[in-house]
Amino acid sequence: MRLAPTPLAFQGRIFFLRWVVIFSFLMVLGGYYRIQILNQERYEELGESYRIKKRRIKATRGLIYDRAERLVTQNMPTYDLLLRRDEMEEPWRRLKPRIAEFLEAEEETLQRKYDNRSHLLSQPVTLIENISFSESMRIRRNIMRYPGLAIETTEKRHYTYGRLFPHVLGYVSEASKEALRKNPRLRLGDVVGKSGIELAYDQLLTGTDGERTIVADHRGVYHSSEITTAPQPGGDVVLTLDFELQKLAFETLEGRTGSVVMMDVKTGEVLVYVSSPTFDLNMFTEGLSQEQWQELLKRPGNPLLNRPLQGAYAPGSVFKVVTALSALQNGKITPNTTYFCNGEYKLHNHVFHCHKRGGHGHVDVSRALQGSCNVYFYNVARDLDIEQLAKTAHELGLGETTGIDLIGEKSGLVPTPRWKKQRSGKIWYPGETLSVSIGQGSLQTTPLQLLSMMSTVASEGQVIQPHLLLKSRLNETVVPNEGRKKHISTMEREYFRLVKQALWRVVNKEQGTGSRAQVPGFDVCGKTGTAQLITFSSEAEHKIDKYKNAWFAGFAPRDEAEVAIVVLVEHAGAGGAKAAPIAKILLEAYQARKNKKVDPT
Amino acid sequence: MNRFSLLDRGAFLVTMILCCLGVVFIHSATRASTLDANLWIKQMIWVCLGMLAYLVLSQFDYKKLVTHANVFYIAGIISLALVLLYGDRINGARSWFRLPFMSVQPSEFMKIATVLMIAKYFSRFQERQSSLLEFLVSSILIGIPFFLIILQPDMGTALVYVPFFVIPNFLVGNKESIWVTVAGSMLVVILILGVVFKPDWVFFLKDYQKNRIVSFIYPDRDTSNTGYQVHQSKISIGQGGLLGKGLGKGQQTQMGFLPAQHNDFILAVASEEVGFVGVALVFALFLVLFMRAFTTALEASDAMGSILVMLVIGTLFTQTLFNAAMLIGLVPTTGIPFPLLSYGGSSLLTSLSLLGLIQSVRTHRFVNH
Repeated sequence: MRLAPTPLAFQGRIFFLRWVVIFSFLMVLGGYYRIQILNQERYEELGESYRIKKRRIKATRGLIYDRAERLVTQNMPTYDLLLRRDEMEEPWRRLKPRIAEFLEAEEETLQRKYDNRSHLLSQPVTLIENISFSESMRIRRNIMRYPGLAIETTEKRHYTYGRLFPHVLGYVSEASKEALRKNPRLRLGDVVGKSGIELAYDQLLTGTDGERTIVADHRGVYHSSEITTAPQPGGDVVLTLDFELQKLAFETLEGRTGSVVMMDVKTGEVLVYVSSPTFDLNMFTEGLSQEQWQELLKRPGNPLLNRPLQGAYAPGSVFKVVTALSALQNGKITPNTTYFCNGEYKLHNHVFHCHKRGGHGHVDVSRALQGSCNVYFYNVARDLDIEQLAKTAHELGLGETTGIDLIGEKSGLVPTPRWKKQRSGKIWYPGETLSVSIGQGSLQTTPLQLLSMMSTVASEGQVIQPHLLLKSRLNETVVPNEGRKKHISTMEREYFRLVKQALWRVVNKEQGTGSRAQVPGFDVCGKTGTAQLITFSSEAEHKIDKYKNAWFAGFAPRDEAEVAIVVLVEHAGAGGAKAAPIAKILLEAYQARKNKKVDPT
Repeated sequence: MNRFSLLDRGAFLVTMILCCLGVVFIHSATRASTLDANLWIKQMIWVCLGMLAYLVLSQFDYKKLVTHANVFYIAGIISLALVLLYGDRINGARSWFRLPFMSVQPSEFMKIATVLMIAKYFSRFQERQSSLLEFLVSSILIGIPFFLIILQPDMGTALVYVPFFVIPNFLVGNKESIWVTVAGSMLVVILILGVVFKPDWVFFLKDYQKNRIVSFIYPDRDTSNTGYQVHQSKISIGQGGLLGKGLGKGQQTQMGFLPAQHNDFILAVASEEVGFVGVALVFALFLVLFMRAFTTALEASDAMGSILVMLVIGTLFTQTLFNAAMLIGLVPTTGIPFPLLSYGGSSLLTSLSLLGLIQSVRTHRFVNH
């Protein structure tokens, strides 16, 4: 046996192909080397991202209580239908018609929800919100046939007294796109505080989300599932508000447009915070439709306006307290200075009237406050510089925010010549000082500012910041809120005493305009106001409403004052007739409660 | 006389080792599955049958087989025609006859018939070179099964027929016909570019085939469909590292992220579980196998035998390399099993038969005994 005698003609070409084979093998092996040895870590991480899934565990939102620990918000369980894209087994375009049939939903509706998805695959898409319990059970039974679908139990805010506290509690709703961008911890669909306490203490209430780590195979079948980070529930907020007084104030207003605020003079704790008309907070958590929102905006009385915080009103005669203190402090009058009131006051060619036709006769500052004599204060204003008046007003907290723990407070307006120059380029007329001295003109104050002012008068110069947070509770740690910004006014204490005595007479003497606020044994002091309703539609044209806003601002008792109150009823008429009686009811209730506490039998 | 003594014992041993490795990997790839947990036993049976075919063919004179190549070839063409008409559609391709105990893939067995047919045709070029015309005639012989397979459509299997066009021409063709081969290859490249940039012009490919080519060029465009397979395959391979996670411990494999684990992606299973060392070993074994085959081609007693061996090397090499390159995303994903290792009776029987044919050339390399 022997090999073929002549070698094949194409041996050289076979040798060539042999090298091709060897080199090709080495090249592909190089490819494996690159992936397995050089980039191993990267592929380990990629592999983990498919196997290991992180699921967020939402922290429960903290609850809100009134000062007596009565619960005013709750968290109700609701069911949402989610699509977990990292568990889907078929593409969306094939899954969509199937689940549309299963859920009896429109394909376009589902598509809209899907279009709104996050760029992160691990973030689920909420397909349907607020499913009823029975419906959720029906879906659960067949959900295994639609890999990727999941029912999630979430919590929805429910306000036990939604109509009673809407402005102060505020509401929660889905975080806006902007909020999502600012806070990387927020996820699409997360609920955040949008107004009131819910917004002011959002961080405390929100808590910290936890995380569950799931190891799953390609079908999404769990191999293990454990909580790797426990969620931290949000802290509770205990408010200074008194539910019973709040309810009483709300009922006494009987739906009239206005506001009632009441505060502890010594601590700054706000006991009552009512803005009327109201709306139901639960409308917002249930998902407000565009139509509902429009309807709410158009409702008469503008229920969405947070009157104590953001309503800017002429304070009317309540402001005479400021004018009196300013004149006394600046030496323009003494406690004994008298002017004669015959019912009118002439300045150049213009006649200013007193509200009492026949006039008050000879009055000093005390009687002028008691009878709310305009002419007396016109005489004072003639000598008083508007800048001096404005300074006193600012010292008493007008024209500035009170610093209450809510967001969006308005600072109102104390007009000065410089302000007018800047705003309209026109000069200040002496007649305007007259208007301001009796709380009219461009002067604008919020009910909270007047409350703060009355509180300062009541405590004879102690300026205190109103607040709504009594204490917070986070993980069994209670942090009481001491209140802030306690300082003493530079004004003489004796002037405060003089004004206080005059305000006591307003309520407790027969000629006093605020006698309807009298509470036997409680020494109520106060000032009524009946403000012409002037709204700035334009600078040139002041539109005068035919109705007047009724004010009562006061405190009790005169000595060792405990509580300050401001009542505003819009378009109601005289403050003494319309606002003072409401103050009386609340102060009575306050006193009754106090007596009960002293004598429990 | 007994020709077993002339058998290439090295090549035989390497073939056996590769088949056994295949069974081990298939077992590891399917142990977590309830449906396929017994596939490794089936594969063992196929290995036994395949080795039997290997040994029988090694003793059979390839010249006699080549003489009757026409019969195998025509039978093969008929089976390909029948499978187009009556075959079962699996994964979108009509490539299978589903019989009670097994599924048969005629396009696999047709490889053997085609190899024999081409060897027969080119056996006349012992002394002279083939012309362009003769190249075209041979191209028609290969083209018939080739296009029948494309019609199924089974691009992966069609692909391993491509060397049949090129190799004999490269070995015995004259300059003219070699240039035509080069031009033809360039045409194919242009076709692929056409699919990518002007898919509407390429009317004869199915959308999913175009998608596969596109997803190969742009692997990041779509990770949920075809790109997903390569994506997961690369993760499996990458996680293996140098020594691998250990048999049965590859998470990609065991948790089912790797697609078609026991079939086309068996090498990815090996990569994850026995690492780069394991892959290099498999590559080395195949390289040994091919080097032994080259020696056989060089020592063959005639051009027919040499061309026969080179055709087998060509098709098996293409299959091996293309599959390995596909798993790491170097080439588009096509249904193409890894020779000897992937699960599948038709493929294994064919591969072992082809290797048996090489042995036949070797045992009959002496003249005048």
